[in-house]
Amino acid sequence: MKFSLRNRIAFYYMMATAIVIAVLFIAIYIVVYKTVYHHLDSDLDAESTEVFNNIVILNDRFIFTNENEWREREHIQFEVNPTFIQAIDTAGSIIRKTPNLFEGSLNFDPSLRTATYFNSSLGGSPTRQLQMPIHNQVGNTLGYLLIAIPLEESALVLNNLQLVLLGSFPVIILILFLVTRSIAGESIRPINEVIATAEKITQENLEERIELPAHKDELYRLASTINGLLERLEEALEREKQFTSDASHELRTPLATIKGTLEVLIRRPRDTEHYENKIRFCINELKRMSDLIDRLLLLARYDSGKLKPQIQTINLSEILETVLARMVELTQAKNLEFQFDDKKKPLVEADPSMLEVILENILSNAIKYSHDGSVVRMKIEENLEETIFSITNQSAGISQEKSAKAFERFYRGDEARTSSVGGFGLGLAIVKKMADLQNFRIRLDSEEGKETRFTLIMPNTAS
Amino acid sequence: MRILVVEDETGIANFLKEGLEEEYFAVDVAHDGNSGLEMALINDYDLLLLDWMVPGISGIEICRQFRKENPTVPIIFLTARDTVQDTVFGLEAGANDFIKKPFEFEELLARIRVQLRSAEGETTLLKLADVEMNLSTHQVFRNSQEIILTPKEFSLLEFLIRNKNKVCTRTRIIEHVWDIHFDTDTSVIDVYINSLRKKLEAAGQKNIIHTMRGVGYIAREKS
Repeated sequence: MKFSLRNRIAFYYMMATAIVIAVLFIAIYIVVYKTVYHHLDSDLDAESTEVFNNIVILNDRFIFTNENEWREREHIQFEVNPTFIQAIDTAGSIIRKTPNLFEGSLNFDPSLRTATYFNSSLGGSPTRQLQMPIHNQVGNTLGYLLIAIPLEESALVLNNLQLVLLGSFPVIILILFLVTRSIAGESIRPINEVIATAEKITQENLEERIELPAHKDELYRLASTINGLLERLEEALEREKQFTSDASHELRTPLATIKGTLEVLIRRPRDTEHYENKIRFCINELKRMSDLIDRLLLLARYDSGKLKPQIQTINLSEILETVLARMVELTQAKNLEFQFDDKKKPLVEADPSMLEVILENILSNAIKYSHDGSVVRMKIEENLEETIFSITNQSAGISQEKSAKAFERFYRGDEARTSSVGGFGLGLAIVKKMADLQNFRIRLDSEEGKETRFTLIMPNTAS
Repeated sequence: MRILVVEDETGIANFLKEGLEEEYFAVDVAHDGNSGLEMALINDYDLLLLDWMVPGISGIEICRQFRKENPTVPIIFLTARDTVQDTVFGLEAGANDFIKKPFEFEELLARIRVQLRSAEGETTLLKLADVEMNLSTHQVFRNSQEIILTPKEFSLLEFLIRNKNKVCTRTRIIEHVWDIHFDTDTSVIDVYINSLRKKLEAAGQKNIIHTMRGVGYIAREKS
């Protein structure tokens, strides 16, 4: 069974209220019932007191003294508020009874030895009856006094009350259900609006937002949470778009260069040297393109999660030396001096090939942006949990705002964009991706016009 | 005709300069937005070729600022961006045409010629009296007789005929026929004019390039 939220709220509310109302109704009925019978019983009590006042009890019998008492209207007539009185001896034979009993007699229950109130009947009509033993001075029972009054009206009152309560109960519950249902519907209407708006939002109009309710309640939080989610989605999609657009730009540029160069080249005959130059140029451009494609594929593979880091314990210094050896030419070309504080042989938890790519990118960046003939300082520090590798170079540096962007794909500083430095702006993006996969932290601190420090923080081998 | 190319990719800038110069255009190259805008505003170009994404101020911004100063000089965008919004954005900024990278060089040439078409609406043919110039084959005919010109002579004649019946000052001629690397010694124009006249009048025809003393030159039929 599938209930809508509003029906469910209404149902639960109705159930709870039904129980409360049922308890209340039962209490009302009991109170009224008790009151009615208490009233009847005290009437019987009063009557019995009156009768006893007119009884003289001897040793072995009793005598009614006031004959007038038996002729009171309530004892003669039958129609309006009659009171029936009957006296019997211990054997059950009638000694005296009021005239309104005519041929009938009140029921006697010999098992009741003390004064008892009980429901009985007289000629088919319900009565309330008091049965009282009559004792002499020493306590022997001489006979019984039976007093009865009709119960019909009281029973009717109780019956009506029962009818009203039982009848009104389902009506009240039904009304309650309907009212609650409509209130619940009204109060969850904003949710339906949220649903309607959310349903309309697709990739094309992701900039749309759900209107926030006026009150800062749960719905407000729901709407603003969804808006926050949309915000993040939009940003992710925007980054994706930007990436695709950047990637296509980066691929088209070398293509356009090669195509244009060859088209101009073929327009007229040229000498061999000219041809050779242009072909060599085109080969270089193609190499640049295939480098870019390799990097894009690498990123795509890590993004899709197909490539997972193979974490093992490795020696950071060893990998660093391998990478440095590969950079000798670049270093010499810029006449850079490397200072390496390498006393320890720190072990880190990392994927060796990824760590190599990371270090290669960081080092080649440091070399690329360093001033000619400057010093590049590398340092390895260790604390209990982490190994911290940092590399500081003298360079133009970048502003804080730009250093935050440096890890974005295809981001390049202005210097890099003028092509004197080259690169695609993917190096640090790859570093970031690989660092994330291995739970490394990276930092880029730069003092504009002075130096730039790149820090890689790696978890230590768990000992 | 002088063209400014604003393009940060040296590879593309190089072949553009080379290819266009072979088509007798004078070509200047700027590698970033700021110098591009500066050059566009200082020099007198017949056409701007702008890359959208260049370091410094963007191609679109150059376009916008240049248009404020100069509403007529045609601007063609070279761009890898190809969404409709980009195109609309560029056209609204005042661009005349878009060419998507990678493009055919021949197409670029054709589009440049469309933007530079003559007052008669011709894109490859220029005429003055009995002199006919074919801009795509670089041939010049007088009375159907071909006259062989050097590239600079051709460019000079092209500029004069494009501006026929209008006085062309020496400065304007220098600005539109030579590129930025030429020093501003205008006397070299006289040398080229003389040799042009000689070639055009070799069969004893009328002179069509007239000297306006102290001002410059004018190409017209009547003397």
